[in-house]
Amino acid sequence: MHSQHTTANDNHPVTAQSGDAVFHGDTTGQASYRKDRAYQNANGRKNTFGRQSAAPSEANMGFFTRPIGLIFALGLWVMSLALCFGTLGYSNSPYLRIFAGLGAVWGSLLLAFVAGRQDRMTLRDLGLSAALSAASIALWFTAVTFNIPLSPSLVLCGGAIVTALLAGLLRAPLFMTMTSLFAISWTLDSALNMKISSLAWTFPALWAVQMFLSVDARAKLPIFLTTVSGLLWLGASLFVLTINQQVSALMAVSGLALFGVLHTRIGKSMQDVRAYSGLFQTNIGWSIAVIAALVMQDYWLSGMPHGTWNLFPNMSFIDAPLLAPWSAVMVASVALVGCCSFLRGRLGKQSFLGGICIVGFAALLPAITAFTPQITEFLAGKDISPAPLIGLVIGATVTAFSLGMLINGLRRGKTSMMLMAFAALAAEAIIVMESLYDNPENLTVFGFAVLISALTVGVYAHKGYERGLAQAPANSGAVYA
Amino acid sequence: MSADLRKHPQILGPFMLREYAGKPLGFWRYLLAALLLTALPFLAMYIRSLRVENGTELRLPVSMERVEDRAFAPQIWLQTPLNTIAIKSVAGDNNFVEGGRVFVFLSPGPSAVWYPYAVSRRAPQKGCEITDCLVLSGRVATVKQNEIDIVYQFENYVPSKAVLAKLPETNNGYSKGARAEVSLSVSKDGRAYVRALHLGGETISQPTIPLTLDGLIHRGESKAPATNPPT
Repeated sequence: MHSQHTTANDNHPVTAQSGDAVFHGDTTGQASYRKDRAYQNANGRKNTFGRQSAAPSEANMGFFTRPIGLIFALGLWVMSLALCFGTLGYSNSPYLRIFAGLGAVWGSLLLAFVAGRQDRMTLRDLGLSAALSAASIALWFTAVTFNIPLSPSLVLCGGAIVTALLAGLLRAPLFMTMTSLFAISWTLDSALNMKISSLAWTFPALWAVQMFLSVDARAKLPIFLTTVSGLLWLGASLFVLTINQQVSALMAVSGLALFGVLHTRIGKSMQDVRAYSGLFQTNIGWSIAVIAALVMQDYWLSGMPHGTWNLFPNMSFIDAPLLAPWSAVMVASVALVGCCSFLRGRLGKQSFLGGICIVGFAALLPAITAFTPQITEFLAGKDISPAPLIGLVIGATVTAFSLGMLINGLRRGKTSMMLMAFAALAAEAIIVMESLYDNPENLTVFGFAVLISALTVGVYAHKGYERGLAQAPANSGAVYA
Repeated sequence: MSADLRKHPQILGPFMLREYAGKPLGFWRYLLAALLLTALPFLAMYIRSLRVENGTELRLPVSMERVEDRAFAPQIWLQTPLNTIAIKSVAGDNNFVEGGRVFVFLSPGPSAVWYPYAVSRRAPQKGCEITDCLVLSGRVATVKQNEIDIVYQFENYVPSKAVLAKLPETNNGYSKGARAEVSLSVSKDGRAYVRALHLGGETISQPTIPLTLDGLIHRGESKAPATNPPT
């Protein structure tokens, strides 16, 4: 039996086998989420992360599914709002204002609940927005009455956490978007003031929750915003720490490269379990890692600060105040890359040797930064200058990975991957050209390094590729490198 | 026609029917969300009241200035003599960095006035009792040649409408640096919170909520003398 699905703005009907889901993410994920739930109800399948949707008893909720229920909820909502605004306008008692705000919260959430029961999503979002606004009013009067200074940082961080909690509780893409916007605003506030917020330690956990919820809901806009907020936070934090002389510029750049690799591996793992936006996350992480590696290469081709590098404080690795935390974060990140490789290995998507190679590549740039004196001493013993050798090795690694990305893009027919690979190769050519032109003997070093890196990439990709090819159905879109 | 439209969830939007929307969320999720949003103001009130009610009271001369920055609520900046300390005249550390932690040790002097006698970058060991000494913790705002500017937790004061209304009457031109006194509640870890403002003989107490039954929570009884180091 066949069923036919036609998408909006699409004149060509898409035919699918019965039981096959043809889902497309929309802007906020609302429609996708509804379709997902309808599909689960019809087929009894679990959603992305294996959870069943809540299925409350229908018998007790009859009143709220009838029109009278909606009228009742609307009436209560309007009354609660009128009471709230009336109290704000005519009462001087702060306590009364706080309670009036909280009353509007309950009225608004009742409206959202009833609208949700009747699948009136605009009304539901209206109720949810009103609830959040009313809660903000109550909190504002609490702060003013009880002398709680509301700094922008506290408001934005608190807003991000509360809306993330609400997004998790109510599965509302509206709150997912809001929590991401709060997080972006918070990051921008910290960056503009050149100050790391005292609550910054909450960000990684908050970001993970936001990403999990957005991916679970397959909501494009929140996924995009959450990805942007994470990148902004990472970039802004490293920039501020560098300017404030907490870490050196090389530590910041090599850390960024490692985070990019980690992001790529997490994206790969997401693709393995067919989680939404896995390819997007992989590409974003790959781009970050390559950009950071190119910046690092630019430094090491000359071996001393030049050009833009002179704008940052010149600090040795050992003098950095945040040396210990930086080292701990790098070790933890490399371990996480290892965990991702292990998980991929368990799924038969990567060989053991491949995992080892990836961990090695991930640790390369932070290791170069941390052990610069030892590397310099070792090379000096062999009459070799670390610059431009290290720069050429980094460039060769970037070239090999770009070639791998290009081949993978061609094989999978993904234009985005091919474009990224071409862009990286072009940037690499621009950066390395001057060094090769000035010293033609560097061409030999560069060529050998590219060959070794490419062989390594090829070896680690080979086993996983063959395994995956045997296991995956045709046109599945699975990635094996 | 309507049957066709039902196959277009993007178009139907809010008018989606049950069979396309799937089973909605349970009532308990909304209940939890309502309880969460309700708990937030009460939690803020409780924590603030707990901090104000418990702790040692310390009264300081204060000058007030209206804060004209990015704050979301009207704020007044409370400046006390303890915000600037000459590090050469007290014991303890003498090299501080901006943004670093600082602990200011106060001790009763002649005429029952409490003076800062030491500054340290490290927290005091347990055993520094409130009858012997009092510790305020803060962060170094600026480092000058012989003195440091310190920011504690209490300087940003959010006045209620009633306080704002009283300020100009009791102290003309307060926004230019009016003088008054402030009662602080200092906890054992050195955090200070405003308990009351004393303006022209009138005391404006910080509102608190009743915390719990007597005996369950210790209320700070100790009181430091009325004036702290003369400016």
